Amino acid sequence: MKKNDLRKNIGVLLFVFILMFAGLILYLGYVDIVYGERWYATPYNPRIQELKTNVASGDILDRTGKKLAYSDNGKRRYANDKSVRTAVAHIVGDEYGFSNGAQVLFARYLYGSGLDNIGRITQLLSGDGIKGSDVRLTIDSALCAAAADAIGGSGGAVVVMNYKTGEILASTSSPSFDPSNMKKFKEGGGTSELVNRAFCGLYPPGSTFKLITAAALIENGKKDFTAECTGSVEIDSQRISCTGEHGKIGLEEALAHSCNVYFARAASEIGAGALKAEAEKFLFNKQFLFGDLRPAKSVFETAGNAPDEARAAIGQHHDLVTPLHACMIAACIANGGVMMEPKLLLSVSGDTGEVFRFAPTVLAKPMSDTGELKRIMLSVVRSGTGTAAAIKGYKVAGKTGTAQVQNSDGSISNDAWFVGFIDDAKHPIAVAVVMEKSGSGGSKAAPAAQKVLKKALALGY
Amino acid sequence: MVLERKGAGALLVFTVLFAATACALLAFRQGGFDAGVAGYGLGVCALVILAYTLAGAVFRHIDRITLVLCFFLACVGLVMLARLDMDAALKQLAWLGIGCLVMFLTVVIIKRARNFGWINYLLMGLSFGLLVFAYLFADYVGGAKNWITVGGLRFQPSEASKVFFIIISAYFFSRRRGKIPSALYAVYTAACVGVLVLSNDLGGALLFAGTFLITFFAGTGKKLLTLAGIGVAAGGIVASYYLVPHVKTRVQIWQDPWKYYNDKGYQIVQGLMAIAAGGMLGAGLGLGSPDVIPVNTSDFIFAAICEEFGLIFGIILILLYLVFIIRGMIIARDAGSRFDALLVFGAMCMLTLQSFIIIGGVIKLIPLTGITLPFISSGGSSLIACLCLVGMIEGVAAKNGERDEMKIRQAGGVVL
Amino acid sequence: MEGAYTVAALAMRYWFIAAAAVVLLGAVGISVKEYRDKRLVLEVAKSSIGYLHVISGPEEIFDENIQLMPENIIGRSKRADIRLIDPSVSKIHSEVYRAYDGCVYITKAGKGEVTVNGERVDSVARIGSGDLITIGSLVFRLYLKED
Repeated sequence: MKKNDLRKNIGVLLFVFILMFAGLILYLGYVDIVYGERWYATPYNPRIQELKTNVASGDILDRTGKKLAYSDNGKRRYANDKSVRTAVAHIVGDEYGFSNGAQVLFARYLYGSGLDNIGRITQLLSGDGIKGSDVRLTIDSALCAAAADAIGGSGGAVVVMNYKTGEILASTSSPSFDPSNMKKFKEGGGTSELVNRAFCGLYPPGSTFKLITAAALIENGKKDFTAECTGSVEIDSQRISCTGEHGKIGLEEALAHSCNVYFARAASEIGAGALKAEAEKFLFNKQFLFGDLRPAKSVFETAGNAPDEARAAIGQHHDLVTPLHACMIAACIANGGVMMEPKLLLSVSGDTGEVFRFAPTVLAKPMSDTGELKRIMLSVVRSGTGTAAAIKGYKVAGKTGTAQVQNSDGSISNDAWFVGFIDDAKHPIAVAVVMEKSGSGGSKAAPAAQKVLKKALALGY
Repeated sequence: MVLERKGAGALLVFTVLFAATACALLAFRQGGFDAGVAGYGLGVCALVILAYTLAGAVFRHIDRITLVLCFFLACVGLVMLARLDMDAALKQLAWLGIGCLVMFLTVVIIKRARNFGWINYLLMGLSFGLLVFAYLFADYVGGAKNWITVGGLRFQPSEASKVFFIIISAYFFSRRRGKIPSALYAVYTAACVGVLVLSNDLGGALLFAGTFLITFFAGTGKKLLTLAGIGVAAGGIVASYYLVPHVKTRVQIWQDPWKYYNDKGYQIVQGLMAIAAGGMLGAGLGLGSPDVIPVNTSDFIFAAICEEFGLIFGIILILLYLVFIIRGMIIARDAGSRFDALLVFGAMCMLTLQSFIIIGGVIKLIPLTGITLPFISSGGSSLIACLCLVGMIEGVAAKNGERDEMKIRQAGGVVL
Repeated sequence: MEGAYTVAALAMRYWFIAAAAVVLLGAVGISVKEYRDKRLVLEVAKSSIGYLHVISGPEEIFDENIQLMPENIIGRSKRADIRLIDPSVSKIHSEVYRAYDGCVYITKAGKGEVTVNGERVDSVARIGSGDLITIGSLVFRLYLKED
């Protein structure tokens, strides 16, 4: 009997070992296939540097075919127009790996190792120097330049997306750098300009977060919630002041005029847990692992106490969001509640023809019906805080935000926000604008967004 | 039986071809023809063929397939080392030769021994003594006090301790021993794990503890006690997280290696980069950059292999380990005496845990520990210890085979 | 030269993967087959009660061991458990079986002669290990498994 017990135990443990190893194989396969590119395409990878010595990098083009980066006799050259160069600098990246742009992210294609084996072998045998494939991005450089111009000298970012397909039509970050002149970075100079604020800059969303709170109200069946605004509200002996005295208002008016009191009260109406759940449905607190880009994670934390929860509901407290994510949220609302994955790579083509073409991917479906929200966002631009973004002849929807940021010296400044979209299936454009330390969203960010949207329409999107 | 013989022979041919062609290719890596590498390749093939044929001729009933699997894995290691560091490769080849001799010796010993009896107590003292010796006098290599240098040769005493531990465990679990011996065994095990933790050899401690718990369950079948044991071990691991700074660092690096890239996380990040760079088919032998991976000849050799040979090859390697383990377990199940069964089982346990822990660490499934990949990693002591374990397995397999042959003969069947 | 190495290394990737796959699949396949075969043979061996060693008989079976199951019908017929092709062997010649008492018996089941250690068997006789048995003109020595 003892013998059989032993045999049985051995059998059981063998089964356990098999499971362990199966897990090992599955994890290895999963990690390499899904995250492999993430590990490979970083500036720290010495292999990419090595590739550069053997292979002439392919060209980087914008979606219209304009050359944003190309090789000329061994030297790397960028767009001729300086304003274009700096507008797309963060997206294109530099050749030394200081910034994490397309030159690093798509290194595999640019340096030809994306070719299949037959392609590589024929290339080797043909004796020509190895040239990588050409990469076409989804951005439009003219739109990027216009966006950079719109926010002027202030720090910040603009992101424009096609909310039906997820393509990023423009992304610019300020302050920026000139990739054809990286001398000061090589000497170890300031790195603030290298940060791509559009993807990696984390800002308090301010009133733009009220879109999420509003979504939470709608999804929890409380869209008819009303509150009385007397200019400020006291929660647990802490005062939250409002932009004005709004009296008794409902959701539409509250969002249109960005009433803090309404949304502070809404926070306790919905409950902290439900609000966090809604934020996470919109992918807050989620690590983004897209194939084309590496954005930072947006943050929504619940607080232990009521006043902080109220602040979190109006986009302050510890809330943080990237301009890209803000644009994705606006795009999601515009797209009927379906959030598309942002795409930067349009297509790749080499000697053997087109090697890759992007396909739109659905990322999440946080809401089933956004008709109500869309309607309210239209009234924000029509008669609320966002009138500066209105464009004659088009239905512009949006939300302004004025986020309070504490500076290192203790003083408080305001980041101006505007997120919105054009409610027209023929022009599926969503935009997010943030301007650091610039003032109110309605007076600064909304006009900038208007300029960007006008340019996008003019370019035919 | 005939099928097995012929089949294993065919597989050995593929193994030798693999090694030969790989070395032939490597001979041209630096431009011209490198006779050294070519000679090395011939040496590998000769050793493998010789060892296999000798083993088959001397011992009638050893498990040939297991032997071929073991040699294939060793060849993969030898080829990769030839690509990375010729010095290490030559040393590895020498160790392989010595290891094969040790394996033969072990087979002979196991075939004759019943359960080692009183020798076990000797082994306990020896095994514990080696670990203490290492703790007191060893040099710190890679954060663990593990290596002893004797006249230019470096070896790890903990590897020998591991082998003895398996024998001792098999002895103590094969029959109900008295209270005092059992207590002695428990103390011995705890002491060994303790010394290993003190020496900062966390991988070794984990191996000892893991093998002990698993063998305990197999031998006694006491689920509750085993669960309690696992609880204690888990508690120990959690405690070490707070008490031993080294452990905390490792776990933090595991969770977010990029944060520590400039310091301790460099290793795992480079390893993952290498695996990603390989893709499905690999970059090609000699074409990748596995040389930038730190510790690429031992701990991270799996990453180097995945870079140049590809993900598919890496997965096949893991499956080969799995087949090796399954075959070993079947031998354990068919063993004649409890001691034999537990011996093989303990050996397989050790090898399973070792491979799982190191591959898991390299691919970031679990935090990294500094142990070697059996048969493939460079390291004489590791290779010899693993071949010794294979010897144990083959010894019991030979005993099984002889018993089966007897049964068949008595029944008048034809023994193939 | 460098280009040639690169091409060779790239091409050989397929071979290396193939070699490893062959070793893996071969090991698995052979293991499965071997396991099944062994089980079969051991099962038969387990239920076998012993064997008859051919001392004198046709060339095909000369000096071989013929396995004995718990019940064996010996004869020239196609349906016999142990088929002996020889004119001196009847269609159904004899039966060797182990009875409930654990002993092994041999019977005369046809016209042909059956002897045990030289003594003729009329109907049933008990046999043991080492006995010399004749079936017709074929001679066997019996070996029984000790339990």
